[in-house]
Amino acid sequence: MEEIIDDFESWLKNYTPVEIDYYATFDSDTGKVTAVGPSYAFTDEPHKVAIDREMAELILEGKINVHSCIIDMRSNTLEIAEIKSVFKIDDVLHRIISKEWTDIEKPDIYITYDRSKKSLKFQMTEEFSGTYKLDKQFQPVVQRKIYWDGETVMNFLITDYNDPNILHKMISLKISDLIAASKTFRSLDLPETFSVYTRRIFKNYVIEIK
Amino acid sequence: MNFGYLIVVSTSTEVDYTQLAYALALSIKNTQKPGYDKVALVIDDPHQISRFNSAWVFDHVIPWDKEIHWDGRSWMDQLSPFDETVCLDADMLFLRDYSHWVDYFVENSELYVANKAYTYRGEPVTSDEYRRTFTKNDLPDLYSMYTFFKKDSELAKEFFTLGRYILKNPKEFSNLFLSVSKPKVVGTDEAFALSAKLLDITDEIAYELEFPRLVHMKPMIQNWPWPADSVSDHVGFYLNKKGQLKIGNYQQSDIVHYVEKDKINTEMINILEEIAWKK
Repeated sequence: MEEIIDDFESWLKNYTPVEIDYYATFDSDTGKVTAVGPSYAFTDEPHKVAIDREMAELILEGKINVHSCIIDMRSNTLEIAEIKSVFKIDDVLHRIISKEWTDIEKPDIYITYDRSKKSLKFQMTEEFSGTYKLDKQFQPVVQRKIYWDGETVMNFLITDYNDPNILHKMISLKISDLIAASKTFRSLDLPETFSVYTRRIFKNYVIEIK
Repeated sequence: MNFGYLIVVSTSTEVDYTQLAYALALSIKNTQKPGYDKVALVIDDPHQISRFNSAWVFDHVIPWDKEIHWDGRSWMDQLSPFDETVCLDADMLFLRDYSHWVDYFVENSELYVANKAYTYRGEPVTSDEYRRTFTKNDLPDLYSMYTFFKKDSELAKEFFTLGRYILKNPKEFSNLFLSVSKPKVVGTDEAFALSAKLLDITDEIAYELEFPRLVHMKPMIQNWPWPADSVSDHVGFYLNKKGQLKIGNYQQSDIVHYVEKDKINTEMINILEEIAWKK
């Protein structure tokens, strides 16, 4: 039955929007997410899990490809597999920002160049079973389950500072190289200033030059 | 000669125009020769510049809050402290010495408004994607982002006075003179173009020249065969430690109107500052 509002002003003043719960439906055999939307859209779906609003909006806006999402059926949580579809130049040729110029607090991939040792060390965040320890404020770290092809190769282009047109070196490693281990390249005599570019597989990359 | 560049900004919650003006002023100091590198900043809140490491790049700071945003530029003739002025948009960068352009204007013009723009590949902009009002209403294709004028010019005075009047009465002028294709907003470009047309001075203030060369980074005028929401979805913006700019793999040497305000961040400012300090 419809509601008649006598005093619209006071109703509007006291109105609290209904909180929408978001759900993801999935294939129960593979765990692959098939759809994402508000709970009322999936009342008859047998296989669904609640997901947070922020994640749902990113998927609905197309910022995260729904085909990259998988339900971890042990914990009933939505996890994002590696992002393989890249469209923008910043995804294809992503400049890894230096630690001094970024606000990123939780890098997925952390690179350290030690000028005295001429070594370039790659680490993945402990959230993905890597060796890069996150700041105290994020401890204890909840491991994110990521379903990737461990054989995926990550290429890193070492170029002139802020100029990917001038290439000095290219370094390649596999994602699996960074699980429970770091990977260090030695005897790398790099210019005084340089940048590192990569195809963006993870969201956040940071480089520190010591 | 008492020549200088004028930048007019006002406080905005969305864009830090003061920082953009600071980057532009740094790039002017870094590239222009003495006598051609003076910068005056018109700003509603002059305290804002105290946060910059090198506020000295502004030779004059003029407090003024009579207009907001870009409308303030139409007062350039009354605000400039220079005898000869080029008024610029804040979201631009200077990349080499352009003082010979200024010599020409000082010698030959009382008032000159840029009337050509280029893509980042150096091709002339031919699309009227953002300028339908101009083509449909037969307005001269003026770009107020580079406007030269002499303070004592009667022509300039008349031109700017009418421009201000148009900005103050946009509906009336739109209905009368821009009826074929009315702009959503009558901005400085539209007001200047209409002012030039009504005063019949286009040939005097926007005649054919090979300069000033202005690279305009709005996405739909880059002569790309695809539609674009933003230039940076498709090509990178690379400012090196020498203050040289590449867009994609094209080295830029003309004045770049970068449009996307987030191109200027703390790192870019730091690059420009270091060059200024070493100069």
